[in-house]
Amino acid sequence: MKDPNSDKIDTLVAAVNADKPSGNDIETAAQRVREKLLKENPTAMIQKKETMSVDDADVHNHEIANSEVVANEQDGSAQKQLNSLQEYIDAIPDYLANRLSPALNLLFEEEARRSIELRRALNDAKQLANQTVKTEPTKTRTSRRFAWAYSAAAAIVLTISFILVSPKFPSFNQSQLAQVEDVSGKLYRLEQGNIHALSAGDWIDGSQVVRTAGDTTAMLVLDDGSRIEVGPRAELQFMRRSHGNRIDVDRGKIIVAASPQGSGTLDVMTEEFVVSVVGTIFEVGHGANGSRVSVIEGEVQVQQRGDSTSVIPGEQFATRMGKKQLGVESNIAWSRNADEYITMLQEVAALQRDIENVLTTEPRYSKRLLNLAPENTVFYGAVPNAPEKIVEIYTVIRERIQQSEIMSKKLDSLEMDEDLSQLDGVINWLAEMGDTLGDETVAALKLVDVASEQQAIPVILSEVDADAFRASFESRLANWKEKNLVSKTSEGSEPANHQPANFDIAIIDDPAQALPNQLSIWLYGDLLIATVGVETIQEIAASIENNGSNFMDSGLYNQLVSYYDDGAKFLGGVDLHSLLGLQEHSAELNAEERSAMDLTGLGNAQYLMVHHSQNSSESNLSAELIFDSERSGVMSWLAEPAPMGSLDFFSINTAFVNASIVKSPKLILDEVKQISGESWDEVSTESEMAVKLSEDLLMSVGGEVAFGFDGPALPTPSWKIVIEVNDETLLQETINQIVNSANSQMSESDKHFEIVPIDLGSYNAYQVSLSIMSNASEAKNTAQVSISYAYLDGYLIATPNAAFLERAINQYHSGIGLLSSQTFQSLIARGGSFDVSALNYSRLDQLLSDLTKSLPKGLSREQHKDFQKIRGENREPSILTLTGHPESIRLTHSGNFFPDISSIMSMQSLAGILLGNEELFNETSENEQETN
Amino acid sequence: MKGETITYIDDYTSAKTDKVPPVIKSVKASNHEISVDDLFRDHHETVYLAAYRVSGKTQDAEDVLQSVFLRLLKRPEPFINIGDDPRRYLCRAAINASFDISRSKKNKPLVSLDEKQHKLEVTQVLSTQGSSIDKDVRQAEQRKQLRAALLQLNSRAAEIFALRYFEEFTNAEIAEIMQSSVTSIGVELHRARGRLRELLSELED
Repeated sequence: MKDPNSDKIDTLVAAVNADKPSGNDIETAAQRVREKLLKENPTAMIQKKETMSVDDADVHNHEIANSEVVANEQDGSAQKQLNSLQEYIDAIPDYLANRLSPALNLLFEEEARRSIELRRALNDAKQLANQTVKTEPTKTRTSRRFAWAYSAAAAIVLTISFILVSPKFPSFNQSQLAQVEDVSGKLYRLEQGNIHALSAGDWIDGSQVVRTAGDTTAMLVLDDGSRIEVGPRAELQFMRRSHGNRIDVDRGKIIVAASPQGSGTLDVMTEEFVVSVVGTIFEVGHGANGSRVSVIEGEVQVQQRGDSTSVIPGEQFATRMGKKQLGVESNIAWSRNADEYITMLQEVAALQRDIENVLTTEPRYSKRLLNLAPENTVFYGAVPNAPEKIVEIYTVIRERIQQSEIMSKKLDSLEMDEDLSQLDGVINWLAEMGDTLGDETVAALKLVDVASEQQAIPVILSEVDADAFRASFESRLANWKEKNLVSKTSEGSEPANHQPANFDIAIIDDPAQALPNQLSIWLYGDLLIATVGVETIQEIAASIENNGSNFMDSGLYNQLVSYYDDGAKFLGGVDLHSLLGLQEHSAELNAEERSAMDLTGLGNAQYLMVHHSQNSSESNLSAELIFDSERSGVMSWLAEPAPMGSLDFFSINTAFVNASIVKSPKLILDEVKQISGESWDEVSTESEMAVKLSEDLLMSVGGEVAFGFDGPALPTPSWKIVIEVNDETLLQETINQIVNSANSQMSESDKHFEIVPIDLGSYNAYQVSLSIMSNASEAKNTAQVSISYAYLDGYLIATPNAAFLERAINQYHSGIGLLSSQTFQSLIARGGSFDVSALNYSRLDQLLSDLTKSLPKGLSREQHKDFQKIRGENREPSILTLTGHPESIRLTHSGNFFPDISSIMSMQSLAGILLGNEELFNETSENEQETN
Repeated sequence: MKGETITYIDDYTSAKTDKVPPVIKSVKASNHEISVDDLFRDHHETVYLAAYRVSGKTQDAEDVLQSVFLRLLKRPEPFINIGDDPRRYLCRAAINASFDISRSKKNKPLVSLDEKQHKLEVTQVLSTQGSSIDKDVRQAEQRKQLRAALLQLNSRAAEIFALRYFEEFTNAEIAEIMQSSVTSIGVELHRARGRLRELLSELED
């Protein structure tokens, strides 16, 4: 029987063989290469020689992968190499004396056109030569018999330089292509997996990889005068070419102020597009969500798969979102020249707005009801096209408040029970009346001062079919009143607490008919306004007269308006500042409470905005916590969004991963100590060592960390931790010291740590093992728990064993990781952020698949069936992201929001099957040990 | 083996873009004199496509084409060691150079820009049309999987696999190229397929 996997390989081979570039592409590339080869060594290229049939043993030469080209003299004399500026300068006498070969001569002249330093040195040498000629008029004349050779060489050089200049090829000389002008933070050069710090004045050669750490910006200057501002956590490299340099952005953001490029172009490349410019200012970013270019000045050409797009100032082109005119300001806000750039953009934006005003159309969603919300509204919830959703939103909010200790306390302190009961009543009514309500229904809470106490007045606004509503509502109201009367009569007592005896509901035709302790429903044209009391309904009546309320001057209104501009669906906004009043009450807190509040960083929280949209197949939730000043305390720990290199270690089949970027761990510790008032001086001598180790540990690691499950779930869960490392040597020394310290403290116990290097190719890899000896029987038993880890490209990767570690490294090198996953990409693209500060990605289906593959052998046929059934159920993956901005934190969620009931039941049955077969795990573990 | 038809054309740019090079001058025939330029005109497409099949990137294929011939130019005697059939030498050099470049690009996906973009575009179209399966996307994914898996084989196994299945040399020809025995090549191919099956299974799950 034929192996189906063999067919699979054949299919894949067929797919590779079927894919080929167009003939035009091949021939164009071939022409470029041929020109380059002719330029490199025209004589050797065209000289005909007899073929010789000898072995081909040296075909495999890894050097050919290295594109660095060395120009050689092949005339039998000593070889001359032109790789650095100094070598070019050293070659000046030979150049002036026409002693260079045609190829080297061409190379020299090309470099002289590009390099100011070389040109200057050449001019100096020429002047010196002239002076020498003047002072030594009797200099020996060049032999006439070589004159023809020099003339021929010059003619060849001139001819070749006209014909064979190829603009897109790497130049021979890649040295000193860029120079570091200044660095704010840490800038590194990557070399053979290790990092080397760069500082102002250092040179960067072509093809060297440059990386910035978090909280770092750096200014680099290319040899053509172009200035590159590099943002945090970026990785890039440069290449010198004959006609314009090339910048490869592997990740992160850069702002390029390109110098005029003459006849060439400066090309900025990511994995997804090429941006070509001749002199302009623009930002390029590349991250988990694709590539993006935002233009500040001038015009750039973006090429994607042969298609060229022009992008002008104020526009942004993103590979997965197309071209649009929003968000450029926030894209470049990280730049040290942000103010200048933003001012530039605002002028452009103002022009665009003027144009849009001329072409104005109706807004997607009406703000009619928003504009009528009363002054001092602290909560606003809108449910367009589905009035009954208010009930669900309200219920969720009530539940969330109950789950939140701080919000519950605040609500308790406001003594709003009565008001909330009234609101409950209103909500119940709305649930019944939903059918008659219009396209949008709004529920709001207005905060009022009554006898120096704050009360929340509920308000409902909606468009309505007034006649239908009145007919339906009045009949229901009559029924309710009758029922209530019967209830009171039969019980002979007061009605239940939640419905005060003197509370009434009435439809009114004039605000003047509103009464205290009455839910008044005022029908005005196609508007419904329902609220408690007199003042609020009269305020809204005035707002209708004035075409808007004083709420329109509030900050919460401004936040809400932006959602309507983009098309609001399920929208909620809370004015936390007014509702919770944490800042006003901070004076009442004691030192300990104030310290705790400072640590949370919630004291300056101003607004919470929530928006949810549900399409047939997509569920997207976004929430934003907005502060009135820069984030502080815990809220500031989340770093600003940046690419996450740690995700490269996770495969496309990752079942679960949490990744985040926080501020420097050392800074966080310092901040906690500062807030809590703790000082290093107060640390006891006994713990000095521990403190020193903690400090070293925190200093040696960066702010990026990822944890996830990627591979078999049983019997050894294939977890993986990836941590950014700033100082590999310090970190390893610290780990060694921690292990030694732990062993010395446990010298009397039966536990012992051991750290040993493991052989993992060229990587620095170690295994830390904890041995636990027991004397339960006469023979000593030793149980061992171990972790393997390795350092690679500025990261520490830790896994349960060396096999998983090797797999993680291979995974990293293969380049096909989680970021390449179509599922992952489509989910993260829904959030709309280019980079994020933290994410949680989970695939329940993958986790179940991994579990199923790792099933213990002893399961019964029925249990196997159960597993297959569980695995077969369709579950959508989900992603949750957090994006930290200076004064806000944004959360987005795409995919399944809560696991459905069948999933929960599946997991329960899964656990039941596994937990009921404990002995099976022992068997599987033994099998695994045997295999190892 | 491919490319047995001998066709002479005057302008190499008019060569057809087919996997089989249209221009194969038999270098062995009568030991006639040729230049590197002749070799380039005859075999640039072979080298380019061999590199492209391994890397999946047009830019890498172009770099490999340049590297392979630059290396020839830098040799004092360009045609020493290239054997009777230059195509064998050039294919092997292109495959190895491509694998080296792909391995050196640790952080970068092996999918070409063209492929990736194509996949994205197709995905976007499909998402708007409500369809979920598309042949092009599937094939791009398959190419990506195979290239990723090949990079995880040892270099000799990957080279033999590429010579056999991408360039369609026979086992006997590969044995000559690799200076090995036919049996040994057969065993190594079998092992390579087995290891690929495992790797592909991991990638799939």
